[in-house]
Amino acid sequence: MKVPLLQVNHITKQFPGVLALDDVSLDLHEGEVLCIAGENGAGKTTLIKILSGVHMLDGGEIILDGQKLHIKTPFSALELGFSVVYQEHKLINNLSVAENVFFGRFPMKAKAFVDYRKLNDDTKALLDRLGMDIKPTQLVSTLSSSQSQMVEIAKALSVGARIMILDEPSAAITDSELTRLFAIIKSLKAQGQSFIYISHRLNELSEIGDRVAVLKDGKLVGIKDIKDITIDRIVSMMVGRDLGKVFRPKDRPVGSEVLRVENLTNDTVRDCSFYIRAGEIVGFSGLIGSGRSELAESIFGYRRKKAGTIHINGQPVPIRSPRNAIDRKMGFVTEDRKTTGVILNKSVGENITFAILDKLTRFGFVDVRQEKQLIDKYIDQLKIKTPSDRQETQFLSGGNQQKVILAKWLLTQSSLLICDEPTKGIDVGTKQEFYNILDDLARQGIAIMLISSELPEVIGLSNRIYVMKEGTIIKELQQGEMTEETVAEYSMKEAGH
Amino acid sequence: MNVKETIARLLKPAEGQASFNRRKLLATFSPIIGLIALFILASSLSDSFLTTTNLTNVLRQVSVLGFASLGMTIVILTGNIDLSIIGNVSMSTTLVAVLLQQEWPVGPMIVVVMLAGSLVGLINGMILSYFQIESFVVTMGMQVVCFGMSLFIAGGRTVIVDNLAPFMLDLASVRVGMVPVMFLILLGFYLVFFIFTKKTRMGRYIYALGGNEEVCYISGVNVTLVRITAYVLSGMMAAVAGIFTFSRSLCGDPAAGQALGMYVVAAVVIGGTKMSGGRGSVLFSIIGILIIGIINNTLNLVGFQYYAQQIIQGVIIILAVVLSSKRRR
Repeated sequence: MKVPLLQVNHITKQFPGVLALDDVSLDLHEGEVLCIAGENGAGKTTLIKILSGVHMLDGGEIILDGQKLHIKTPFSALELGFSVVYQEHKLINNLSVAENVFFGRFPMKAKAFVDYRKLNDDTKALLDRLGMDIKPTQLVSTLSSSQSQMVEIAKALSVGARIMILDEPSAAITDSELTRLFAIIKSLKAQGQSFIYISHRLNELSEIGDRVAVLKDGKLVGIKDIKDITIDRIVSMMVGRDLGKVFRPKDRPVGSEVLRVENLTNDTVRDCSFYIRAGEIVGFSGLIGSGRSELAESIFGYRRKKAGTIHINGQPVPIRSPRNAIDRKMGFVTEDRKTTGVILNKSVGENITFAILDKLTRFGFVDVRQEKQLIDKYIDQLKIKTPSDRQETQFLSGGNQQKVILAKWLLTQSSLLICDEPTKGIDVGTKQEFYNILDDLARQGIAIMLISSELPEVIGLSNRIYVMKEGTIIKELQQGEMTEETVAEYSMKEAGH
Repeated sequence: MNVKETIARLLKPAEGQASFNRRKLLATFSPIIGLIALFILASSLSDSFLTTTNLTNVLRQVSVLGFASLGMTIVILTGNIDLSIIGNVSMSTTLVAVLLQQEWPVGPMIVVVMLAGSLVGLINGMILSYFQIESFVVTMGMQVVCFGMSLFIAGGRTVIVDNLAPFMLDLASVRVGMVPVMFLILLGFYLVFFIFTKKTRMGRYIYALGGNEEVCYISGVNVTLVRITAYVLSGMMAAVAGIFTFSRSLCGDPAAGQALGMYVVAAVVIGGTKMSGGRGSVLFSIIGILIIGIINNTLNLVGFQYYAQQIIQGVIIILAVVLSSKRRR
């Protein structure tokens, strides 16, 4: 057997409160595609960040070509031959394709002027190698997301990447674009290029991978040859138990219609119509950028509507700001906790009561005693792990911060709760708690709009699922039709099919 | 710095919570420790520092800065800045002079001046909310407008007032023991604003706005109202500072506010309130103004040339800010 190109030996990484990587060892051969599978929070991202120099490892070693490496900064990682093509592209939109590919390494004339002819010719050569029909002078802002991805790959090739790391490359591209990406990976692989391939879509792995490494809770569960393993087996390795038990049966009593949206159109979505009844959890699936969050923002009055009407309990209501939405008993657990969810430097208690302060105020002064009772009640009820209600929210784990946000919207006595990726970046145990909490809330008659990119989660929790693509709802799936395959199929369907 | 690190090591915490509380405690108390150290240093550098006359004088000198810094603190807590205060103080001083010259009674004069100051704040707040732009630039522009207004009000020169009411004549000079009454009034204002920021709903919103404006908006807070409130209070306090500026010089100098300059911002930051908003306290700013007051006073007593004083003051302000940012890391 050949000596591996890359050896990762016993690496560990500790974050406050979490052991993100625990004694993980991997190897990667020249011309190989190694897939990494695992749930969110399993340690995939941490692994990439260590290889790309964003995080330093706490223990273990990384050996490339028999040489022990010290990856200290993203720049040194790049020099050593690690290139990452991230899920959300990191190109500079207002520069041309060529300028992006050779950013920071422009060919120069007389040491002072950029040699644009050489820059564009070199870029053209790279693009040809990838079979890409775009001009080196085109602005990146005019590219589709699959084209930007190719530009990133071209950039990685131009740096001379030994190991190319693809992080969820299929998340934002169509099926036919994915086929082309696979063809490119295969041809580069034949030339000896090595890849680390990360994806949530397990059926892709068997198509492109040679081996798969499964991570769970920061530990390596195992590395297997793709041809020796089934997808079901990978799933049970990832989850560590049967998926079926994670979700409760959906025998929730369903009441009358709480929300009806008709022909809602804004800057991103158009003509979206749907309804949610009391006691229902209604899932919204689709690719990143399909408009799910933007739809939710318009319902909550956080993003301007261009057209459409919103009915609450059968009445059409004008909603122009979050204030209007809150007055209509809506709550919005946003996708990005840190920027739109909690006030990080305020205490847990202040965040919990933040949306109902007007009801806790006597003559302008906050009734601290009454407030404290409510805070304690919700810390207890949602099992928020915090040393005290006066702890600043930034010191809580992601899952507990998320519970603080949930508590805030439960205190307003929301009858409609919009949850945008509520379990993003939360560990498996807390996720389970969230699933039970959402189920409990629905059983109390709250209507829940659940946006989630994790297919098992949407399928396991929802009564119905709306699939969105390019700003419109393209399909409503009923209980019997909800499988990962159908959801994925509709989210990626080419227009016109 | 080394001393501070040693203290931090001695207090070595076990858990995140404890470490945080101690850090917070240290952050709160290091300006106070600095003030005490400065006080001791000043007493040893000059014999005349620890005299009743001098200390009374220091308190009188910092009072004007104190009123202006109080308004600034509120605005900085919301994550904005109000540079118009400096111009507003000039405008208010000249307005006081002109109104008194036209023989207005003191009561209505104070009301009108405070309304005019608040109006400047209202305009600042409305422009910022409506156009969503940087407060630095807008309030800088407003500062220039206010300086222009004060020249206009004063007719381009210092306004001299004859036949002053006894109230105005005595405002700056009356003392209780060695403490000037104007400093006591200042403490009164600080106490009221402290309770306002810590106990009322609007106070919570002011801190929260500096913490995260998006969360405020999504949680249904009327962000515009909170911002405007902060600026109106700031403008009102600038007017109060203007009234006391007049009481000290007994004339309407259209350039009076320029003497405050960036000390208003420096006092707030030295006190420990963060420029990024959401963190700090109005009470911290009392420490800030006292530190600045003692430094200026000592440099005078020791007899530095004016240019040297300026250089030293500048260096000390930068140093204080550097230290204050270190201890929060």
